[in-house]
This record gives sequence, C-alpha cells and structure tokens, in this order.
Amino acid sequence: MTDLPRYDKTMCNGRWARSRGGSLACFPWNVLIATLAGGASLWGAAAAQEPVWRPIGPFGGGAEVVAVDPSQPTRVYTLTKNSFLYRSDNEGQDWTLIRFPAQQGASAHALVINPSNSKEIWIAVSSGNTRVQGIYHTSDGGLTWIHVKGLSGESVFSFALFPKDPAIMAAGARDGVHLSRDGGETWSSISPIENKELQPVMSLAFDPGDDHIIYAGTPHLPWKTDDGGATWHSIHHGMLDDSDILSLIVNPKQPHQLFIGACSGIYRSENSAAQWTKMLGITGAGYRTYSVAQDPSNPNIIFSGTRDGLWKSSDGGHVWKKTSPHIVKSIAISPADPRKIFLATQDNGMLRSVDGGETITEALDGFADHRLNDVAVDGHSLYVTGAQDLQAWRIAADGFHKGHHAWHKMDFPPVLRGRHIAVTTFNSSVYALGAGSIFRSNDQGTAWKRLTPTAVPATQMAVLSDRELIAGSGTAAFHSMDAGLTWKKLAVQPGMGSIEHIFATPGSRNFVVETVSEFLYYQEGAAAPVTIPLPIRPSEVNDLVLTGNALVAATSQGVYRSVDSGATWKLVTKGIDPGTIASIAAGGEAVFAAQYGKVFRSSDSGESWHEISTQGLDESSILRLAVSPAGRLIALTPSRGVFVFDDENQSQTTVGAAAAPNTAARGSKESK
Amino acid sequence: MKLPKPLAHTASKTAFLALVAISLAPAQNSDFSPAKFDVDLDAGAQLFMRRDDPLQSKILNAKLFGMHVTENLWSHWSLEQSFSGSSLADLTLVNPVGSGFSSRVDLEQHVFKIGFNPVYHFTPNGSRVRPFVTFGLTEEIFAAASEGKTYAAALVPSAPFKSDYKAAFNYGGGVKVRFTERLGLRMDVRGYWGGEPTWGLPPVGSTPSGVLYMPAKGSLLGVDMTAGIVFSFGGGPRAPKPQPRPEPQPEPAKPVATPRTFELSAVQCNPSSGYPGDVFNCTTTLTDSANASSDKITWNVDGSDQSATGAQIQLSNLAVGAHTVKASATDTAATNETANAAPATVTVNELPPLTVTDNAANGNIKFGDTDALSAQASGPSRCDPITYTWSTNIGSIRGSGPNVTFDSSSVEFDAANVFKSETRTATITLTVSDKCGRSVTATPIQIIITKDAKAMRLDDLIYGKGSSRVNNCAKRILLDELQALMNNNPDVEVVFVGHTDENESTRGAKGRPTHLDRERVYNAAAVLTAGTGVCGKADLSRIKVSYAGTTQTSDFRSGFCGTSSRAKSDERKADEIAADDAAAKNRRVEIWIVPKGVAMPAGAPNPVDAPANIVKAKGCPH
Repeated sequence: MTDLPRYDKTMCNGRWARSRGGSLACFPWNVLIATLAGGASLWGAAAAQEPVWRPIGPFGGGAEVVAVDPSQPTRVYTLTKNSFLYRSDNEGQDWTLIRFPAQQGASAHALVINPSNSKEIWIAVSSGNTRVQGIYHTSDGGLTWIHVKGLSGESVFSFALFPKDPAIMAAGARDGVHLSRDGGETWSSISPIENKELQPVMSLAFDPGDDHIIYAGTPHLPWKTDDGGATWHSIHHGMLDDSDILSLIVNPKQPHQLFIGACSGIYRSENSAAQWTKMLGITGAGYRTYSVAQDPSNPNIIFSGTRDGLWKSSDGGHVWKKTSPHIVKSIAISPADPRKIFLATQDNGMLRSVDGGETITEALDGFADHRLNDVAVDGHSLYVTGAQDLQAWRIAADGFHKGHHAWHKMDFPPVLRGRHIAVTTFNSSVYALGAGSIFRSNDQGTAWKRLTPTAVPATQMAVLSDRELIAGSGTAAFHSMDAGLTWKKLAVQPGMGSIEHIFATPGSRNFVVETVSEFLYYQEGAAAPVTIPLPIRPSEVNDLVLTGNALVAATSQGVYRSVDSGATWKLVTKGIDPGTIASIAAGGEAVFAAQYGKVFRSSDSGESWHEISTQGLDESSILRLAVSPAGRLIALTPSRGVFVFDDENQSQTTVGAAAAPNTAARGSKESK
Repeated sequence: MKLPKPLAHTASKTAFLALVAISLAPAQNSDFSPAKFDVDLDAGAQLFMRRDDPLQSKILNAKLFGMHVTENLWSHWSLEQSFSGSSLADLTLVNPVGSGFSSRVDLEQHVFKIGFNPVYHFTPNGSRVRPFVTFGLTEEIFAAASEGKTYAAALVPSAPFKSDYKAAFNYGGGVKVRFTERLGLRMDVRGYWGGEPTWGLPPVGSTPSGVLYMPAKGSLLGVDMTAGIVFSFGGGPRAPKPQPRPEPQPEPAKPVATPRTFELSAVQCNPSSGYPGDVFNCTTTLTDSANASSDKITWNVDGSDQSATGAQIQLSNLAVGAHTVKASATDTAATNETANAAPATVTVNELPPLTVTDNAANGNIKFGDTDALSAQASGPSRCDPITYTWSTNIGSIRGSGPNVTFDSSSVEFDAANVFKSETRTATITLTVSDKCGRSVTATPIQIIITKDAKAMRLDDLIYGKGSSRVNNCAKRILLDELQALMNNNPDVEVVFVGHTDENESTRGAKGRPTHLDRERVYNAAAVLTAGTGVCGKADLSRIKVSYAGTTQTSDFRSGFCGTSSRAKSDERKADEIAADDAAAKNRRVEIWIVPKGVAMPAGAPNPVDAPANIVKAKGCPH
C-alpha cells in the first residue's frame, strides 16, 4: 500500500520544517480517514512486537579494500573507507554488515585473511583517535575482535602475512615497519625510526620464500630488507623520483617478479626490485595506481586499479584496456575461478565481474558507506541527497523495499548538478535547495521549476504551505505567498547575524529563524519577530519541532522545551540524559529524538521520554530522524543510508492510522 | 446397745465436721495408682429416730458391722454395694396397749441392710483423700430375734412378733483416706428414709384390748455412722507426676549395685549475643557413668535439628532475633536412655545500617578533563573496612577508596560528528560494601562532558624551493585524506594558509613578480577541486584561503610527508627537498578543517573565499 498524504490538526502542530500547507491542511482529515479505515495507531500496533531497524539503502559509497576467502571463494569481505566491514556469502550478490570495533571511527587500509585459517582476519586502520587506531584481529570470522596490543595507538596503513608461516607478520605504520613472529603477540620495530623516507609505510609484501625479505612502499619510494629489517635500502631504480607507492605485490609463484602501483603509474620488476620498468599504455589520470592484481592462473593477465578506472592487460602489461571508469582502490580475484573479480571503488561501492574483468556490474545490495546529506518523505516517496557523491535518490514509500534496484537516481537542473542539495516535501511536491535557489518538482523529481529569482538568494528554505515559502540567505529573509512568483523581504532585527537555519511547521504560519547569534520567532500577525532566549548557542541547535503547544529543541546539550512560545526554556531530563541530541522529529502524537547510540520516544510533547529499540542499527550513528505520513519512523545515518523502524508486514497496517504530519523533512539549508 | 443421747449427738457432730473438713481439703492428684475397686470393712453405730406416738415406741440404737464393695468405673464416679448388720436392736414399746402389760416391752431384733448406690468422689481415683457423696436404695431387713419372738408370743400369743422388710432411700457421704497403694480408711455417714415396719403386730386402735399394738404406720428415719478399713485392688499405671528418680534397682547378678549417672549440663553459648554473620560456639557436657561410648548428643536450634553430633556446635548465619539452643543425649545402646540439657538463648542483634553519600566536585567538565569524586560511608566499626567500588558507563575512574577521579579522556563521542560540539552524560555508580557482607549503592552521580567543536589541522604540504607544485605526497594528503574528511563532514570549511620562506625569490618566470604563498594555495585548491585527471572534485566554495607570506605564526606540522632526502633528480628537480634543508618547513601550506561556529586559525583569522577564477584556471596541476 502507499503512504497516503495526511492532513490533520496534529500535522499543523507537528514538525518545524520548510514545508507547505494552507488552511485546508489543518482540517483533521486524518481522523476521518482513520475512523473509516478502522486503523490503529502505528505505535499501538507495534507494541505487540518490537520492531527492529531495517536498512533500506541507498546502497553504494566508498569501498577501500576487498578480499576473497581463500578456502571459501564464494565468501568475500570488503572494508569501507570508514571501516565498515561487510561480508558476502554469495560472491557479492548481497552484503551483510559485520560489526567491527573501529567502524565509523577510523580509516581502513588493509584486510588480510590467513590462508591457513580463513576465520583469522587482520585489519589495519588509522585514526585521529589513538585509542582506535592499530590492528584488529579476529579468530572466529568476525564475531569477536581483539585490538592487537603492541601496535595499538599506532596508525597502521599496511599489513602482510608470510605465506609459509602466518604467525610471521609485518605491519606498516606511521613510524616504519613492525614485525611479529608469534602471531601478533609481540612486535618489534625493524626499520630505522630516524629514516623519514621509510615512513609511513603504505604497502608491504613478504618474499613468498624468505621471511627475511620484506618490501615496503612509502610516499617516498619503495624499500627492501634482505635480512629481516637489520638493513634497508631504497629500491627505486627506474622509477620517477617523486613516486608515492600505493600498492606492492609479489608474484607468489615467481618471487623475483614484483608489481608496484604508484602515483606515477604501474611498475614491474623481474629481478627482485633491483630494477623497475614503468608499464606504459595507461592514459589520462590512470597513472595514479591504487592497486595491482595478477591473475593467479595466467601471470600475463594484470589488472590495474587507478584513479581513472580499472585497466586490464592480457599480455603482461604491454597493452592495456580500460574496463571500468570508476576509481578502483582494491582488486580481489577468486582463487577458485579467476574470471570472478571483485572491485572496491572509491565512490561506487562494490563492483564485480564474472568474465575476467571484461564487463563490470554493481554488487551493492546491503553495502553502504556514503555520506548522506538530507532526507524527506511524503506519501509517495522518500528522498535522500548525498553529500559525498552529490547525488540524490528516491524510493517509493510503499513499504520501503530493501534492495539497490528499488532506488532511483534523481536528475536535477544543470545548475544543481554536483551541488549539495537539501530536500523537503509537502503535499507530494518535492523541493530542492541548492546553488542559492529553491526548486520544486511535482512529479517526484523528474521535472523541476526554479522558484526563487536571482534577487532572492536562498541558502535556507522553509515551506509553509503549497503557496507560502520562506527563503533566507545572509542576513535577509524573503516570504512568498504565491508559490514563488513574488517575494517580499521580511522584517529583521537590527544587527541580525547571517541566517543559519529556518525551522517551520507544516501548516503553520509561524516559523523560527536561527542566525549565528540568536533565534527569531516570526508569528502570524506580528509586525516583527521576537527573540527566543534559548539558553545555548544557535550553532548548537540541531533541530526544532513544534508539537502540541510545546517547542522542543534538539541541542548539543540535550532536549530543551518551551511551553510559552519560546519565552522560557527548560532542559528535559525525565527519561533522557543531558547530551547531544542529533535530531528530533514529530509524528502524530509522538516525538522522537536520537542521541548517541539511543533513540527515544515521547508521548507528551517532549516532557518525558523513554528509550526505544536500536536493534538493527548496529551502532550506526543517526544523522536525522523523520516520520512518514503513515507514522513510520525513519533514520538517516551518516554512512549506512536509511533505516526504517518497522517490518514489511507492519507497513500494511499503518496507512491511514496514526496522526502524522504529511511531511517529514526538516528545515533545510544548502550545504556549501 | 444404747448410746447416751449426748454421746450420739457429739459423734454425729464430729462426723459431720470431719466430713466437711475433708471435703474442703485440696485435692491431691495421683498420689496412688487408680484402684479398680475398693472393699472396706467397717463398724459403727446405727441410730433410729424416736417415734412420737402414744406408745412411745422406738428402736434402740445398736452397733453396726458391714462392708462396702465399690467399683471405680470412672475417675470420680463409682458403684457401690453395701452390706451391714446390727447387733440386737430392741423394739421398745414404753407404753404398750392392753391389759397385763408392764409399762415397757422390749422385742429383740437385728436390722440388716443391703444397699446399691452410685457414688461421686470429689477427687480423682488414686488420690490420697477422696471425699464422696452418695444416694441410693436400701433394702432394710428387720429380722426378729428368737428372744423377741418368744417374749412377744408370751405376752400376746395372738399377735406374733415376726421379721419385716422395708425399702428405703439412703443418702449420705464420707471420705476415704489411702495410706498405701492397698490400704486406707473410710468414714461414712448414711441416712435412711423408708417405710416403718410392723413386725406383724396389729396397729393401734384396730385390735382388741389386751393385744400388743403397733403405732400407726409412718415412715422410719435412721442414721448409720461407720468407719473402717479400705482395701484397694486392681490399680492401673500411676498418673505422671514429677517424682524423685527411683533408685535404680541393683542388678541381682552384681554383687555391688552402683547407681548410673547419665546427664547433660546446661548449654553454654559463647558469645551469647552478637550480630549477623557472627559465629556462636555452644557447648554442653555429658556425664555418663556407664555406656559413654554409645552416647550421642544431638542439637536443636529453634526447633530445627542440627547435623552436629558432639559436645559442641558452631552456629553461624543466624538471623536477627533470639534463638533457643537445645542439646540432648541418647544412649544408643539397648537402653536408649535420654538426657536433656537446659537450653541456652543466643541473641542476634541487628547491625547499624551501612550508609553512603557521594558527589562530584564539578559535575560539568570538558572532554579530556577530570572531576573529583568523593564519598562518605558510615557503618559499625566491627564491619570495617569499607570497600568502595566505582563504575561508570563512559570514561574511566582513577584511584580507589572514597576519593577518586573521573577521567573523561576515554569518553567516546559520535565518530560521525567529529567536528560538532557534543555532550554526553556519564553516570557513575558507587557501591560500598563492608566486612559484614553488606553493600549499598549510592545515588548515581551524573557528570556532563562537553566536547567542544574545534578545528582540525592536517599535515602541512611541503614545497620545493621556489616551487608551488603539489608533490605526490601532498596529493595523497589532499586527495586521500582531506577529501574524505570533507565528504564525511559537509558542514565544515577548509582553510589553506600559504607560506613562503624569506629566502625564496619574489620573482617568477621571466622576472614577473610572484607570490609563492598564493600560488601554493591555489595549486592545492586546484588539486582538490579541479575534477579532472587525478584531481579531486571537492566543492571549491567550501575552501577559504589566507596568505601568510613569510610570516610563520604557526609551527610547522611535519608528519605524513615530512621532508625528503631524495637525491637530486632531473625528473622533478624543482620539487626536491633535502633532509638538511632547514628552510623547507617555511615553504608550506597549512590545512585547517574548521567546523561551523569555531574560530578561524590564529594565523588566518579572516580567510577569504578561494578565488574561483584563478583556481579553475589552473585546471588539474601536475
């Protein structure tokens, strides 16, 4: 069933957002609809069985490392830039998140599977947080992890196991190479700390036949030791002098053959790195080579993952062919069937090929790590805009089916392309804010109309009704009563700082303008705005909703609430601790708030709260909350996409049930 | 036999008073074994009341002999059969009617009585003294003696004097006093009310003159007073009564009989009072002169048998309150004799409560700061020492005891919002416990930790002398580090601050003036935003720039790229940086990531938007 637009009294008292809604919007149609439908409240119905959070996408984003399980080649692991670990048991058809201690808090660099015991996995990460960075180890396929002592507190960029004895391992850290010969229990630094050329170590490889021979790649060319680290020497003959070594591999069957991916291209050595030969043929930006892979069954087939896509050579590197345009950070070839190739791409998630890299397809279902920017939902669709890849997606709100193919990329006018876009919806129209203008689409994002002329710059927007809009930029705010045909400059306070945000309530003509220094409350019929004395800095207010007769603010210090039109505010502590509230959303009779690791619900307009389940969120942060017109709670996470607090069966019972605003979009601003 | 009137009167009064006194005496139970039946032989006097008639007839008093058989059916009720006979008791007619009679005629006879009576005893069977009352039927037999018959026949042949029978009610009471199991005394006073016998003589007025007449018929009243010896038979078991222990009978086989001593001393507990958790040692002493090896002592506390079987028991974990400790000994040999010790009482008192209060010195701190926590606990000294256990949901606790420190440096904040101000609440729980095994949890302390939004600085980009080219190491910082941070944090701005070394030329190609600080910034911005070649596609509008010239307000931040000691090369000679190049640190671009609302870097307080036309004109620099 489709979410029906809702027009009700509660909606008028619902979320502050840039939205729209005339007087008809305040008619309690929802009561009539709910009565006729005999529906029950979503939350009442949900009480029988606690819902879980279900990720629905959009999928994709940045993948950093990919590896195939050597003993179970259908199993593939991938690690994202933000250290989210996913596993596929069906060769990449879909992915499942494996909870990893450093997820979201570190940059991932290496994932190595023990060839003798594929339940043993080693992951190297770097981070600004010294408690997070280092090496993590699992012995049970990812169920439990150990932060490896001896290297904790070190940012580790590379990792290698000695193939003949996996108890011998090397880690490339910011201060050089570290070696362990006891399975990671103890570590020793084996590179001279005073040699700044030999650090940080971004890539590592053992000679397959001699654990005393180790190759290390740094931003300052490659290095080699033949004596277990006692002495090191630079191995750059034949390379461009200013070469940042990004990857390094040794042919396991012919250890004298090495390949290096560098910022200056791909190099090959046939004499154990004594001399390098640059492999020509890759054009454009393809010389910045992030990864190199060699077909284990045919050494002449070489893949190069570059900033200009995936390149393939079938003749040992003489002739190259580009087979994918996406930036490839890591390549994994199935040991069981070398035609099956998995690619970790910087912006396009996981890709795969089943024909030796000739054709590349997406392998995205369940995989996500892209920074999203905004979410809006109405009765027909849910809209998401991305901050990282500057894209926007739409999914039908008919149950929010999981699956990458349920999402549709949205197209925007040329001026909006490549820009951060904020979205909001009202009465099935979707509004986009970007490039200093407000646009509206009445066909779910296919055709767009610009609503603000050049004279009305808009970096903030609020939609009060179908025809009433607020635009703000700098220290000026504009008001349109005719759907953007004409605009009138609003009265402002003398000395008012630049506008940071506009919080509006769908169906209400009142709205709040947040400036860099204060909050201004514009009330219907008032000649000028009044200052709201919120007891914290405006920059620390993340959200603001009007529910019932209360103003409820989500701030960096907690939930603040006012029941006298903002004249006085009180920090709410009943059922919710002080602490940053990332987002707040009102829907029907309920208000929801997201705090670090927790989600709360209030049934009394924010006066008291109780925690609800976060099962399924897998410790993902919540960037924004929204409530669909059908009363379904939605969470936008910074990296993992949208989660729906529901299950598919329950969605059938929610339509026309709960009183909820007809839009869930927050007040939106254009991100620069 | 005639009793003088005063004597009879005195005897009657004495018997009555004795009966009353005995009846009022306190009952003494279980003096002897209850008797199934009693037999007594008694003797006494028989009295008949004078008849008030013209003949002044009367029956003279006589001695009386008899016996009572009493079946003791219940403790207080019995059935009695009595048999008695008197000595000769003359029927005396003082004024006989008829001619020829002297003034007095005595007709000799015996009076026999057979009675059947229920008897109520005021004390139970087996008592030493048993007063009783009775009411029953008696058959009175007035048996004319041969002398009387002869004398009457001599006087009036036509009116023979013969025996007569009358039924009568008897009533009375008495007291039995037992001296031994079998022997006692009995005193009895019994009245009779029955018909008056005529002995066959004609009544007065109905017979001719000259005939011996009897007065008109009426009732006859009489009294028996007897005393005698009681024999008790068929006694059952004696009712329980604390009695001195009978001396053990000497075994006939032993030539010398020694009495056995088998007893437990009173239970002694040390201490006799304490607190929960204390151990109480209770002891008793068994004295057995015979079979000590087969004796067993058992213990009981508050009615609950204990497993201990010795002369001592240790009691622990007793609840608050008074507890009764008993001991008993059993000779497990054939005799199974038991002895009980006098019990002892152990009192367990309630401990004074363990209390605690706690607080934080500040309660609101910045991320990375500490806050002092203190607690005050009180309890009884006997339960010292008190242990303090602190725990917190976030952060860490340093130290131990009542005064510790909360350290916020390990508090985790939302990793997705590293550039935003954020607060979290630490809830600190203190539990104190004492040696007595008690614990109490203090009111949780809440400390609010605020992480302020602040700018982040990446490693500086290093440039060759006189060069503004972004080398490959710098590109890694821009493309792989900075761009990722910008993607993950769309609300932050990036600030490039360009520097030059004072020894660098201000003249560029063909001698044109050049500003290396600006060029270095422009090239860095172009690498990050150009969107072509290897360059990134970050939003140029998020980049602000500042030109510091030769001013080095901030310290050089080395790190990722550091300096290079690469040998001079023709390939990139303009970018070669020697390790001993002390001025390399001045040829740099600072990279700042500045969140919304946070002050700009000190070296660039007022950065401006990156000049789009200049940066775009550079394309993607090599």
